[in-house]
Amino acid sequence: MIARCHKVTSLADRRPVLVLAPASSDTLTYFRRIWRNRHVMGPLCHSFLSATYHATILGAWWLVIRSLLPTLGLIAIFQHVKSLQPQTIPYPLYVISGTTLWMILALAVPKGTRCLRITRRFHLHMAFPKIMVPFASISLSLVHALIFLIVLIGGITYYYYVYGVLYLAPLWRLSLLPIILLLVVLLTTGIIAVTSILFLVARDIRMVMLFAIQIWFYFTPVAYPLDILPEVWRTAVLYANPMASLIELGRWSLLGEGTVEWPAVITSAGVCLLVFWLGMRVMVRLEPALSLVRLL
Amino acid sequence: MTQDWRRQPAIVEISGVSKWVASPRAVNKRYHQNEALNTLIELMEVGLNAGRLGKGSPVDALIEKVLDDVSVKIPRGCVVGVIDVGGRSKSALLEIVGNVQLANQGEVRLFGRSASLRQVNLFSRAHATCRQNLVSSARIVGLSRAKIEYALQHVPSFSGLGQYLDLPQRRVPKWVLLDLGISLLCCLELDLLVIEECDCATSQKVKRSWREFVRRAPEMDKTLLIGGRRTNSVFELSTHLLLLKDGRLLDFGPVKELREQHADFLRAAAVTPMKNARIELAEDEDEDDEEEGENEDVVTSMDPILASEAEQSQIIHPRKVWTQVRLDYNPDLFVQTAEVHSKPVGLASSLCRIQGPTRAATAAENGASQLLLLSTTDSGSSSEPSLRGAVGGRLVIPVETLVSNLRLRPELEFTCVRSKGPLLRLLADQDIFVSDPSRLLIEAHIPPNRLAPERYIVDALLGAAQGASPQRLLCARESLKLRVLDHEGAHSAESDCDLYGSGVWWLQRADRDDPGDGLFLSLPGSDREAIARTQGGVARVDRSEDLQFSTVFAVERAENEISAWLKLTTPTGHSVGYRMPSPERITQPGDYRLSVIVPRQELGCSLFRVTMMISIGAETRNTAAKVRCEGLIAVENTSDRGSESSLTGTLCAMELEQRWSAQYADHVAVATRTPK
Repeated sequence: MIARCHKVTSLADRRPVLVLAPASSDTLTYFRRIWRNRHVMGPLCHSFLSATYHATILGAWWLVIRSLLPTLGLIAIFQHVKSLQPQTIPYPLYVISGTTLWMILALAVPKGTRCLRITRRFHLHMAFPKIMVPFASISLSLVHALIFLIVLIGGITYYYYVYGVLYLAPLWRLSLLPIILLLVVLLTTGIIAVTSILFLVARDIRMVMLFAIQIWFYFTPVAYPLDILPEVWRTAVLYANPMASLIELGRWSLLGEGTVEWPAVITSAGVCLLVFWLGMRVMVRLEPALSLVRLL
Repeated sequence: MTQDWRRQPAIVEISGVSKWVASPRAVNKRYHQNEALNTLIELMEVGLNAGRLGKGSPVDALIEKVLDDVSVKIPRGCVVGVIDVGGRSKSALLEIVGNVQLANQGEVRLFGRSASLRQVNLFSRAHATCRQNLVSSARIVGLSRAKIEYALQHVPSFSGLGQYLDLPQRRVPKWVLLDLGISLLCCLELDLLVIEECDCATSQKVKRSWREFVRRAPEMDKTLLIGGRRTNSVFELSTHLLLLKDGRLLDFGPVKELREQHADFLRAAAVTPMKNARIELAEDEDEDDEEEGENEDVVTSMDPILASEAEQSQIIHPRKVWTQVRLDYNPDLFVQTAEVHSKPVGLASSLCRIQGPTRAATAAENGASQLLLLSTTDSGSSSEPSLRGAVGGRLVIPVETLVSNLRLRPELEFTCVRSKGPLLRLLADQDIFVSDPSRLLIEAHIPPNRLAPERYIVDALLGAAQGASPQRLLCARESLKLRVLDHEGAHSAESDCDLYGSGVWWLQRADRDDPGDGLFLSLPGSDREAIARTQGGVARVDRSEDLQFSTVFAVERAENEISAWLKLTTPTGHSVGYRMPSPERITQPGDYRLSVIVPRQELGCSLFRVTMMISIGAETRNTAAKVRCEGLIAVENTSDRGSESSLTGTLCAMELEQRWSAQYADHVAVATRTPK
């Protein structure tokens, strides 16, 4: 007994459907490989998303709870500290707008550090560029960011109807948001690309990254305005911390409030691209070695 | 496939493909004591030299080439069986064509949609249903959801396992997952299917459907690349063969042509156990990973209803083929195939069994009346099976294998009664490969003069491994009591000592370094003497070594004669002895050491009580004193060829017996030295 099978693809066209070539260290070839294997991205992202809250009673609601509760706690406490209040916009909107971008990095880095190990079954069953895994691991953080964005829009609407003030930047500034988002994603991917490989070798990196993210948070204007810092510190934070500039730019493009210094923004964008390029080079270079050293 | 298969358009073009894998030898290479740091340095070194692999890079020692410049065009519409010796090249090639891993050199051009069973069988989400997992896996291949859903409609009719499709994966047995995977692969709209193990289907329905699918694949214009641990199955299913030898392409062509052309190679491929193509990574633990161990609680046992169904559907057709195969590689063991059954016995069965006494009736039908049969024996008066030690004999072990593709390694262990461990082992040099479930008579030749006259417990052990599994399991063990008779053909417990010879005796002054009391055992010529002391336990010695026994004693008066003899007695009273050819005269009082060498292989394998008696007196016949030392040794054979094993253990129970003769008491004094 055999099931009826479909008619097979026509072979009249003699162009190869697929060419399986060795992994190349050339960046352009690597991008071509990524594009050729783009269909792997969907299952990979789905795997990350579905695995996070499987076997829970609340299910996807944990996404909302996990995102909002810490932030609501932060708002509840610090909105009573006068020195932390921004001058023009309410503190809750200030914090949520900063958290939207910060959470992409803060959630993705610890999670992404383990991404190559979590997806080891994929690597044993399919050959695809490994950089796709760090990209896919950010999907969960992007969902969190989306939730924050929705909450932020809800907050803006609330303040508009209750207090009659619209805390929204001009529409042309909103067009900057995708670029800012892309820069944060590239920065996060670059970091994860390195840490995920290091995690296969030594688990220390996870602990290190947890500390690093915590310290990084203190130097990022998520819960406090940059104005409260001395001039020297403010300049140092804006130039040395790419997330500071990006978050301030995001706040400026969304709410119209923020300390935007364009040289610092350009420097941050450059750092983001550099980190991504370095991370990808490390991944491209070490990808063939991972199987030879029996790490994957 | 027509004869002009070379003119058919190719579906796969493999050009100059080479592949390196991690060499098992590399495991030993260490850069640093810290394991994580060691791995990091290794990763950096390999990563930096990845572009120069195989071209004299420093990391070449860490890798091994499994494919070397393989180029071939595979025409469409054929079933290609990939065969090699050992399995590593085959697996690597199938994985490269199936896009499971990338080649290090060369290129593979696919002129149609392809997928491998490995990709479809991903099943990465244990909490999701089988259907969701299959859709997810097939999407990785690059197929659209609509096409996958359409193919999934046919899976129930193909496999008969439709009821499992909407169950969570963790509730479904692994074999069902495998069957569902192969069913979906066959139903998908694909031009090329890569299947690493062609015999992977478990349920009867899927097996039948799969065989039918392979038979009709050329008609449907589908190309299959298959491999498998059972070369016979690959032959049976394939229309073409792709032969790989030492990583290089040996030949490619229709089965009919290559089967005769490369008969020797194919025979070697069939009997050579496969190495693991991939070094499996040990699953390390992650205590705080919520995603880890998703598949831990996957049901592996068989559904009882389905198991009984599967068992009922297996009809036994005994073919009663009687063949006798002499295995040239082993002089002592050969296998006699008594009867071959074409039955795949229950899936939950063990690999094989030795027919025990409870199966005596069944065994008798096949010509075996009892567990272990003695072919050449002098039964004597006793009903106990026996054989003559000087002549040797044969033991027959009826064995029944229950699964296919089995490698057996029979072994016999002879343990002397009251001895703790086996003294003689007869082990087949190589595995006996049994492709189908069969009943075998394994016959072991016991070489002459190996066993001392004694009662033995003979353990027949059967190690078995299935397919390429490197792990051999001890799957059966049965025992038999056996009596070995002496060269006269009678076993007499009361017989006197048979003096085999004089041995090599010498007496010398003891050094200060000589140890204290007791009977000592050492290897002749060894610098470190007296490695064994009479402190209890049994000294286990190898039969292939000369043995030197020595003792130290003190003589206080001069002008005495020393005579001595060594006696080795089995627990049942049979003994062999060595006597000093002529008495030695002592002119000076002092400490003396008396040694004797027992030539190699004069002793059979048994447990022996060693007694050295030394008579000291003015005249040998009128002994003034006797020194008696005793110990236990177990003479064993670690291998048939004789190993270079050194002595181990200790002799035991030294007894100093001083029987003073009153009349000579003033003239002779015997004392032992104080141990250091």
